[in-house]
Amino acid sequence: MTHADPMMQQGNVNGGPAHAQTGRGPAPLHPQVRHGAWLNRDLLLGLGVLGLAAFFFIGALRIRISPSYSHIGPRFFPFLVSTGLGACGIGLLAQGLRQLKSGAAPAEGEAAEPPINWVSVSLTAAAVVFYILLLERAGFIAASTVLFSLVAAAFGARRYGLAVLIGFILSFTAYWAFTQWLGLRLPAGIMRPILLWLGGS
Amino acid sequence: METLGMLLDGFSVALTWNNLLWALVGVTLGTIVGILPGIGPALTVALLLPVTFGRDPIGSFIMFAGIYYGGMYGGSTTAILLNTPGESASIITALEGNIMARRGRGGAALATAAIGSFVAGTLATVGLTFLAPVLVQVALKFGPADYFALMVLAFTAVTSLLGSSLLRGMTSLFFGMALGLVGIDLQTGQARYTLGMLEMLDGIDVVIVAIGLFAVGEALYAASRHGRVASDVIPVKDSIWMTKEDWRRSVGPWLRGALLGFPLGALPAGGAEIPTFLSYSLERRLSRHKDEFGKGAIEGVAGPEAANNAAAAGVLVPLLTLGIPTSATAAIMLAAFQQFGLNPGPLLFQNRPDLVWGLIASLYIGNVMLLVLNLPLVGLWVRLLSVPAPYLYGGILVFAALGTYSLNHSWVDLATLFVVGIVGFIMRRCDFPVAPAVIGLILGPLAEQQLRRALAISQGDYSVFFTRPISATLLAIAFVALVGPAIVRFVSGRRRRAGAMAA
Repeated sequence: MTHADPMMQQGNVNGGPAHAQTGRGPAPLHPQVRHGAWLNRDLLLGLGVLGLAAFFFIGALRIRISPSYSHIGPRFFPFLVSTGLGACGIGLLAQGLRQLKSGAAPAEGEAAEPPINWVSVSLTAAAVVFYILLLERAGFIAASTVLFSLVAAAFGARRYGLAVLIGFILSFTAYWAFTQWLGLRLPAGIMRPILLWLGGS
Repeated sequence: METLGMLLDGFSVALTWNNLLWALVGVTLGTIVGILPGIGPALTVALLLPVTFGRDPIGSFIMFAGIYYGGMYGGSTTAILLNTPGESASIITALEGNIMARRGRGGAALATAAIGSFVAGTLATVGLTFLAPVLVQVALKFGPADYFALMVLAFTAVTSLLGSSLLRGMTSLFFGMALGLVGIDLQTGQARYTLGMLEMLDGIDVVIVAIGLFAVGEALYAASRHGRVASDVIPVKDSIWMTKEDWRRSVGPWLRGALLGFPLGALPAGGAEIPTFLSYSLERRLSRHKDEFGKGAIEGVAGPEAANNAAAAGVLVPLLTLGIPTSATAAIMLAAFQQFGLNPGPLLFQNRPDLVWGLIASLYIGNVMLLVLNLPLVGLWVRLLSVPAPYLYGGILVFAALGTYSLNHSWVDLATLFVVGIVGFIMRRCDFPVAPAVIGLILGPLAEQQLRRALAISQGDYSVFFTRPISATLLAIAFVALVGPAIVRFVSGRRRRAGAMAA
């Protein structure tokens, strides 16, 4: 759902040409612009929201109701909410279709959004995934240092050694403060021997 | 007079060394996170929740309130000195304030924002002091149907006032409410949408969703713009002491801003965005320096900034007296109340007057602290703006993950955080307001409870919502709130366009 919203990117390239359908800027600036006139952002979002609404609606049918319960039961509100969500999905879909028809730039959210920097986004997302995989195996300090360094790299830090060092100091301080003074439990992992030696836990 | 006695009792709570320290910690943290781009008061309170668990609720809430108020002060500094406003309520401040800063009047803009925030914040706190007991009396008469109608009002107001489009706000709200369905149904004990996972029985924690949306989603959003958008900090060259002329031109906007902001914030309508827009257009109409607007008019900073802070204080009225949050930070504060086993509302005023009035008294103290922190020390805070983005976002994510994991020590929470973060990124990127989702998540289950209770009492008769006077009135207002802003926006949009043509 995140990728390639042609409408969004066309509308705002360097101030954005008003006639977005034909107004393609210099290609190297935004290579991922896709020119299919059959799909746009609101259409995609509408489909996504509708899918979510369907999930919750079908899920509501599966909620068991006890026969002794005569008043409105545990299904009622889920039906209400999923119907509301579905209506929003249809609204977005309609908006998307209308924009397709008129060929105009989207009415909302056309505020100058530059094309997505996919390298930075993927690296940041990967950093969080690594953290989840590492935390309970390698411990908080190691996982946090990796998280910090990868995110710093994603945001353009050039001196990787410095980023790792700052990340380690920050993670170590946070671990020490939270476990020793604030009474939280955090996995020590591979740092356990050192932490024990320092008198921590 | 009874109110004054209660307030004095509150001061005796808030003025203990311990609680003064919590207030100072709160306002300092609030100022810092308000200034730092990418992190705000809602996220900060959410991250601190695990730390405060099991501690004294009074001190914790005094700290949270300090963070909330401090975030408002700090936000204006960022809006003035950085060309990217952090939140929608600072858009207007950024408009005139940033231009003032570019013209070498950054000091005066910061000063009028800080003093205006103090004046309006204090006036609004006075409003809160006297309005809250009155509303508590009203709230005692509320039945389940009335509470449900009130929540409907809050839902519609929040979605129609926040963000750029009603449809997008509604989508965000229903998404939050859908997430709120997950877990055990409190009335019948049936599991809903748990996908067979034990971890899901307790539902999706609003704190995780808030951290996911505001930290992970925000970081991904910032990453998506990395290297594409330049933002530079404008140095403050002039004195932060305002001239006599500045004072003369600021006092009126401060007071009018406070008068606009407080009631609009206190209505279960929330949102500091509309009052700032209204204040800006009002000041432009009243000013004798109309030509300066758009070129750095001090009135255009003083008024909206005052309105912003007064509205922020106003939001506490429905939160404390009715348990209705109308902003993201208020939603997290409600989660905090729930964590301590407390339910904001009339009963809280009866059972824990020390907490409620201590909290209100601390707001007066916090405002004074913030004025002192923000005026003479502003040079210090401004340096926060030069924290390099790589380390800033690295640090935000480390603490976001830490805060999430320490809730239940479960990797499922971290996975939820990641998924919510991706959703938050899509929402940010596609211009969906995030706050309605958070409010829907925490208020949805409460609304369901009241709805079912009301229908159980009425034996399944739906007309109960329209025959009870309170409920009928609230639903009528909800309808107006749904339709009204669209009309206002249409009219003011036309006017703004006309104004742009003229200029």
